[in-house]
Amino acid sequence: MSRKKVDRFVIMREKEAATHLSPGLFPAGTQNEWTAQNRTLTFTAHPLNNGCALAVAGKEPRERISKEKRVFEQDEKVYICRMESVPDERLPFIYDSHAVFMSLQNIMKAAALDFEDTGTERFSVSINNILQMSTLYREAMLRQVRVLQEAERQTEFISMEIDVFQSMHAVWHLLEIIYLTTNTHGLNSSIVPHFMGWLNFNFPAPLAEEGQKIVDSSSTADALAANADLWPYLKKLALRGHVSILANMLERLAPSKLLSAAAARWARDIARVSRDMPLGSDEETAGSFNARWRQWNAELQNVATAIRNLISEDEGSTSNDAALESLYNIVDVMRGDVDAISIQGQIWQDIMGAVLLYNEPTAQVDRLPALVGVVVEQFQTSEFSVLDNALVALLNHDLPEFLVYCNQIESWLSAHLADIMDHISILGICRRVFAVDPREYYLLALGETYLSHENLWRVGLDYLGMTNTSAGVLVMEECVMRVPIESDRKAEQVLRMCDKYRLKRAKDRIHRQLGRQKWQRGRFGAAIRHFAYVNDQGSIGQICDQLWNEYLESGKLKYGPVIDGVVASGLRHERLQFLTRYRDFHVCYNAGDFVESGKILLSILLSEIAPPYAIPDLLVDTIPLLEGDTLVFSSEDTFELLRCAESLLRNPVLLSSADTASENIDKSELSIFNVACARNLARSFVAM
Amino acid sequence: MTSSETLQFDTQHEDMIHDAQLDYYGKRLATCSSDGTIHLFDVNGKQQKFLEALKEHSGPVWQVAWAHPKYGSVLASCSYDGTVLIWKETPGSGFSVIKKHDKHQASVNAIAWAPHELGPVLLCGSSDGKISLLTFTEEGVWDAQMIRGAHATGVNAVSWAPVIAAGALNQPGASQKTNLVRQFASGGCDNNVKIWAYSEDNKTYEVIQTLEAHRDWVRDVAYAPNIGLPRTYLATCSQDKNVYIWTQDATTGQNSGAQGGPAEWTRCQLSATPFPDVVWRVSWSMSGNVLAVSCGDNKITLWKENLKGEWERISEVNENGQRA
Repeated sequence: MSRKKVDRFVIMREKEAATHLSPGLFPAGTQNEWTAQNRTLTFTAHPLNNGCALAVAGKEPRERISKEKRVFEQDEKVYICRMESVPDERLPFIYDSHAVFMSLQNIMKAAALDFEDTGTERFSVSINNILQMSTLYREAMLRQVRVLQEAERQTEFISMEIDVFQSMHAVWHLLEIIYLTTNTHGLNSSIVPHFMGWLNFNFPAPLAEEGQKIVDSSSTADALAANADLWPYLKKLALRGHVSILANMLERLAPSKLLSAAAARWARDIARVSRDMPLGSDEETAGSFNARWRQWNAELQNVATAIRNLISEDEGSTSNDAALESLYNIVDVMRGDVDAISIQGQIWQDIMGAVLLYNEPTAQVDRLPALVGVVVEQFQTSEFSVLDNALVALLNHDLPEFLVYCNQIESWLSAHLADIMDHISILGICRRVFAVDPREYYLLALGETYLSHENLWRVGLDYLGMTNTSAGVLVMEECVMRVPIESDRKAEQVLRMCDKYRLKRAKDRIHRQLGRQKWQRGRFGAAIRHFAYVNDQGSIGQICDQLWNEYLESGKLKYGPVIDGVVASGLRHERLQFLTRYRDFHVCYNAGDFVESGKILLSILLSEIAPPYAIPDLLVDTIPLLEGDTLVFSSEDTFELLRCAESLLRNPVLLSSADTASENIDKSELSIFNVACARNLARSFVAM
Repeated sequence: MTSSETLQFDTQHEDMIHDAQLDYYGKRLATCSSDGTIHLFDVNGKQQKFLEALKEHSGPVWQVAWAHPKYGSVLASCSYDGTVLIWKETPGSGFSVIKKHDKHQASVNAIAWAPHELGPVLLCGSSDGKISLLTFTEEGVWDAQMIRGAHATGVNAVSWAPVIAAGALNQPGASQKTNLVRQFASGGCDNNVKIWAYSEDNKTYEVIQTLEAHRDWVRDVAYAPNIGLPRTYLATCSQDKNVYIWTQDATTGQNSGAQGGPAEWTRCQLSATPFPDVVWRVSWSMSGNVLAVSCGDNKITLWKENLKGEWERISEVNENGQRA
């Protein structure tokens, strides 16, 4: 493809209608006045989508322009705008097609693994699977069209949506028959029957209702002959290859007394010849089919010659045989006369179909560019719609041009087409023409449009993830960290997406964010679990310190359930261990098991799991045990307690903070502790 | 875009707005005004809620900037009164000033938080021609470093470069602290755009390149986020009605060119013809592939690099809803 062709699209794209804010920020027609009044627009891009926050803004500060304070109503307004929004009506289609997209990626991944493992014929295996997926995409589009057509309120929007989905289907279907259907082993590789199927499905003509209307209003052959709509209808049938219906209609018409004897005779004859039109099959060779076709075409030629002679004989007479002339037109089309086909065809697709069907019934896909060139020449291509341009580009095998036009139809279409084209290995030409990878480019653009939708963010992430490029991963990582987490369920979903795409950096960040969030809300257990995922020992320690301080302030030990849950999950942290052991001490003490509670307290002090600032309180806790009736601490234990008190007084951390030290180390309590230890020592020696 | 797709609300400011910024998640909006206040809103889908009015500046507030959420809910503001304030939210008691930076002698026109990987660092540009870097140090205090004569007649805009160099994303250790890019760009009334890089030797930021192309005051500069592209993108706009996209290839490295100097920048004019009026602001989308341009003709146009590598306008928002 030449670059010149791409340039054309850039220009067209610039001319494209723009998204706009309605009503605008300024009153219409006041731009110059507002500019003179120091106003402009300011904006900030939305972090998660292509939207922005917009406002009328002052270019210069009030001080610099005037003391007179002129304020407009718009000065106060801010607009949060979405450049691209997903209409609710599209959601079912987006979900359906996303499921197909993901299945297709999985199939390709599995096929690639098979290929690596066993060396199987990956391409031939995949092409059938891809064809199935392609069909599923089309079914989703058709389903969407049906749903829209059945909508209770038929608005202009619904009508536009129907057009978009019908266009998407026409494009997709054509790509399917060119690159998938005719590539499938075991099928007749001629494009013609598939093309006619595509044409009559996507651009149906004549409509079944037209035929029914003619039949309903013409119960007799005479009534049929007198029906003004009959001949245009019959010509259309011939043009579109509906030869059986054509034959039936001609047979119903033939008995009419309104026809000349010649017209009646040739109507019957054409009906017979129509029924004899050769049809290809997988079993028949091309040579055999061509021989039958030539024979049939020769018969049509004879019919045409005979009718033309009759018409020539009638020339000069006053009564024209209009029926005979119409029959001649029909035969002329069926024998493949390009001029006759062009006269009868209304749209280029009509002509393309009839030329293929009657002139080149065994044509293969490589004939399409030459044929479409001849057909399109007869039209003003400047008046072509985007759909026309996309279809012509596809028939021309001009895939870069095709993709650009498809993107103008709908970004969903270009993204999914680029993906499937990549899977069937026909995207290479586009990669050589474009500066960036078109699959990545379109998938990223599509994914981003879904990200800020509250229900589609996971779908959006999947599209980003499936680009399989570093850009996709990076955008996904940035996006996933910005997905608002309003509930635990949403948090789980976001974290699952991180696991799915191995977004470790994002996962760590989200855990930290969730940890902080839970902490602020007083959900300490959940906070600790999140911090544990990222091994944030500092934050875990701070939460434990907060739990300890709350205990000190309230005198009530309430953190039990919190730490039980965390410890049960297997988390190990020095501070947690301290809180657990301290809780155990309380339980034993309250149960009157002073010996056990003493052992626990001593083990906390000796194992050094307690933070230095908690030690004074732990030592104070030993006083009732030292002074109690039961001898709890042996002489060795008592010496250990004294050693703890000694090292506490030498602790540089506590000593450096005079306030804390004075607060934590109450001298009078320390004296009582010392006395209690001395007494306990004496008792323990006696007991020995 | 129709009104139904747009959330519109009154900011309750008593004078012109100068800036509106969404936070990291797009859930909070801060607006600032010539009335000297900052207003904060919760924005959720089609609903918004006024949160708080912050009144500490004694002049018009030019810009606001949200810090990365890892530092909590922190907002910076700069004002015509020559000060920069840093606000922090405390749950239950709202926002309060945690730092007042008053080392500038004239209006502070632009502020930008450094990428979070570089720590809590705020870049400020002032009409006094200086740039300052306000850093919250490991010792728990704010350190202000002044760069004098950055743009002789005033600094209008500042922007940090992505910390991970273009093309380095797939390289091992790209995100490690020692490999992080420490650069920013500034634009000023001397019509120049300057690229600054951190010098380990001198422990300060120094100019490594001056991009001379604009013929009038540079109004805004904006680095595109790095999304794995092999180039660094910088957008600049000016009073001369032009927008340039500057690109720097990664092949020679962001920090060093072939002879050890910085890699060359290539300039591309965004639009074939100049914009109809002064271009006030340029801003990249989060993924860095859409550039929004605000022009004095009261239109905001969105631009995207197409498949061919050329910039094309994808849509616009204008004064009265007329299509382009």
